[in-house]
Amino acid sequence: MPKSDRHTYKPVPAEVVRIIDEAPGIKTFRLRFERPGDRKRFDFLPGQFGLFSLMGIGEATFSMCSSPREEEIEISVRNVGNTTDAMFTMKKGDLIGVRGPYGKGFPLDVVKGKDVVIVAGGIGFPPLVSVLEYLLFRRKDYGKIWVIYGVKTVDDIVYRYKGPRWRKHKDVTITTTVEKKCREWNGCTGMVTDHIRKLKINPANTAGFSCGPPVMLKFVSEEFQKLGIEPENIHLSLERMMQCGIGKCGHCNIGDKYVCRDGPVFSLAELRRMQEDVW
Amino acid sequence: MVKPKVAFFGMTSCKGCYFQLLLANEKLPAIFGSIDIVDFWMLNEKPKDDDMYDIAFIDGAVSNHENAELVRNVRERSKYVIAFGTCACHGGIPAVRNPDERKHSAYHKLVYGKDIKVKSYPHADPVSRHIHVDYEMTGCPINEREAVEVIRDLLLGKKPVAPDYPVCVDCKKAGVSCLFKEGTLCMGPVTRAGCNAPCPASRTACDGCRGPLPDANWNEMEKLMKEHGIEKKTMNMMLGKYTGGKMAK
Amino acid sequence: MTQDSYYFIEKKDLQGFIDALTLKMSVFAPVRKGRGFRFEKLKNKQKLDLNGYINTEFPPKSILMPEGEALVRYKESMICEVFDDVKKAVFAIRPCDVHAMLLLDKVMMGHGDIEEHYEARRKNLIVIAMNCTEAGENCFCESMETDRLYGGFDLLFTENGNGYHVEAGSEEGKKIIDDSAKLFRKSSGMPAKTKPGCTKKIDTAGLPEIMKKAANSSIWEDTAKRCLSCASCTFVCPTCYCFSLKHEPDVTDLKNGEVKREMDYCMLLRFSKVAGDYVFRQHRTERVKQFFYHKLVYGLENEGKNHCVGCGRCITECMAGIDITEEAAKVRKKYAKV
Repeated sequence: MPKSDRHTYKPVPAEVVRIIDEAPGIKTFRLRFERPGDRKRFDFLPGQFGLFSLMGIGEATFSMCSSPREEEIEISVRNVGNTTDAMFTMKKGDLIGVRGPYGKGFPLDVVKGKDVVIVAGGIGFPPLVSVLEYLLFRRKDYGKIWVIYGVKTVDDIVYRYKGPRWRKHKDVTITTTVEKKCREWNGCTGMVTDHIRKLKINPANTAGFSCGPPVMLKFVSEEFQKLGIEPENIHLSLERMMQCGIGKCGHCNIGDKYVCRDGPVFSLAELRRMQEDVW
Repeated sequence: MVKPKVAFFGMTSCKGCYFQLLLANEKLPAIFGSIDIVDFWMLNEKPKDDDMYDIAFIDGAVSNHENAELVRNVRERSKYVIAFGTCACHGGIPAVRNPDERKHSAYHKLVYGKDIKVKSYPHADPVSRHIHVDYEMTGCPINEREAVEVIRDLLLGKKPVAPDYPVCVDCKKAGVSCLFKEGTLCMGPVTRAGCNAPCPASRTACDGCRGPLPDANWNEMEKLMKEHGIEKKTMNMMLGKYTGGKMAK
Repeated sequence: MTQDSYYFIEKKDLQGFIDALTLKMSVFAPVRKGRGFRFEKLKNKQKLDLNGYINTEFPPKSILMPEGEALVRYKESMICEVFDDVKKAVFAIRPCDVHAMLLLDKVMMGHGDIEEHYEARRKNLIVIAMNCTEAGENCFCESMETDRLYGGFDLLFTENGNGYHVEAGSEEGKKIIDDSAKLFRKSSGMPAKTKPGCTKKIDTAGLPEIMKKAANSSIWEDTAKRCLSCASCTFVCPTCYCFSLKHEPDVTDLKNGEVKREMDYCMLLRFSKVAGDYVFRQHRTERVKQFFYHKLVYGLENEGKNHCVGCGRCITECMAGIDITEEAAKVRKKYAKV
């Protein structure tokens, strides 16, 4: 009989130890839990999310983008509302409230031994970075890894400083593609879907992971299927309004499923069975 | 911490919304003590030369050239502009004359005599028709609690969001038994919430003073009104006294 | 329940029983207000008047999930949880509403996740239910099988002649009887349960499967054309539990404040709005559909119980006259044989 988890809405404090200016309007916050016990309890897997609060302002949902092994955790934030605007005024040493971890992450145990295609669109990259770090730490347990990261303009590219380290690994191909051509960018252009099409994979032994805007996920899953990857092996991280994080407040429901509790990572097979439009 | 500079300006209105602010000040001096009121309409009608404002409140409709110049002036020197009151947000009572624009000078002559020259525009406008408004705090008059909460939120660096749902939600939360269900012609379902439904709470039908709710189901409302013998024209008139005769559609 | 769980109290002693109870705990009972009755906290020695009481206008869920309930309090950087563990009793709650409460329990304390704020209130709530003797105009509890209780109560009253048969459903209930032992006499059993006589009904046989066939039906669009999105249905529904967590800084001292629970409604646009102002359920049709499917299909799948207990409040409150029993019948008529 699984034990019941007990929840309240009280956050635990974490200190901002580093702020990285990733791109205009996007910052990464590196956080250290004030009490070591809290980090132990915040034992997360890639794809899970937390609810981060500034008392009096509000709470916002972020998937961790750091490796679960690190003592400190990282989240990447785009300022689109009151809570994220307030986060952008934070300095090193400020405190932020943390609740979580919540949700079902990417099924990294299930895809052991497989090749993995990771496709990220814009601000959908963070949870997939956590996935990548996890896979790279256990490199032998996984096959080939392709990462296709797409952004609208060259200014939107994040985690530039992580690229060199990732590329050092064997059989890891990282493709950053920019939608809007420009002089400063010598790299790939086009949509992520264009690059998925170019892949040569063994569909029977490949898993596809993706996170990004709803429209992108729809097209990416179509491309994955065109490559022959089965819906059970395609895993997508969805976004919805979250407030409680534990499947009670109702905001994140799609049909009878709760994105915070049954997701945010769903297989395409599960999404097809959803009783409401997903995208 | 430096207190934000706040200014208040008034245009064509009854100034009832100002009384709501004064009431709020009486009850909650803390919020008003946290701001530096540099200009208040009763003391200075126009901005002082070099003044820059963090928050500017503008009440009243734009109904003449003076008003239009004033709002443009205020916009240039303000970081955040709040249009408060239905007159500022929708035109309000000054805009009642709007549908009869063409009779403007004839009415003017009738009311003021032929010796006083017409100085006002043929139609009274909401402030947003002349400048970009950051927040519309509607209501005839405004709800003092909303004023306090908006200032509180701005002091915390939060941008306030106006309710995008009907008065019915406020009404139920206030514990009121639905007037509409009792046969009273309440405009709650098509009116923007945020007032805590004081009129229905006093057993008076909502008459839409906070202006139309953009996503309201106008077709159904017209149908239900018709079942009670109220034609669309009449409903237009009822709500139109706050919006210059126009409904949301 | 054993033989010693049945009692009888005469109508003339009911006030005395309630008076004694109000001395020990807060008692919420139906009080005449507005168009009918509301559950309100009784004042000391407040006279109980159940004349004409069939059910309350607003549901009793506000006792377990009060509007604006403080869940977390903060004073600068000190943050603490808030629990309400004041002992309360709800008196004369109807079987349909008890079924609704048991459903809320499954949502708020089930699925392997217990919300402690709700749990604190629930643990300290005494449920004194009362069977119905007549059905309201819009009741359809019989077809939803929520017109009778087999558990979930501390005491169950059934009107009979000049008094009430009372069944104790728990040790807590027995204790309450013992505390007012003079007012109760032992009884040999309960009278046979009579049907309240509902005129409305939903034929629930195989309904989820039929509803699934109707997923893209124009029925929802047609109903949505009538819906005013006033959220009255979700407000008065005893099983609607959706809520928001709202940060409410103290206007007198901005460094302090509370995080409150405010009920929220899937019928409103803002419910599915995300940062950047994208709304997932932009069209009224989608929201109307979500309401009906949650009540008649999803609830069954998630909690094993229909999220509709047949109380009929949504039918009573809807200004456009949308009736869940009619919607279910429309769906069955069009899709049952396909």
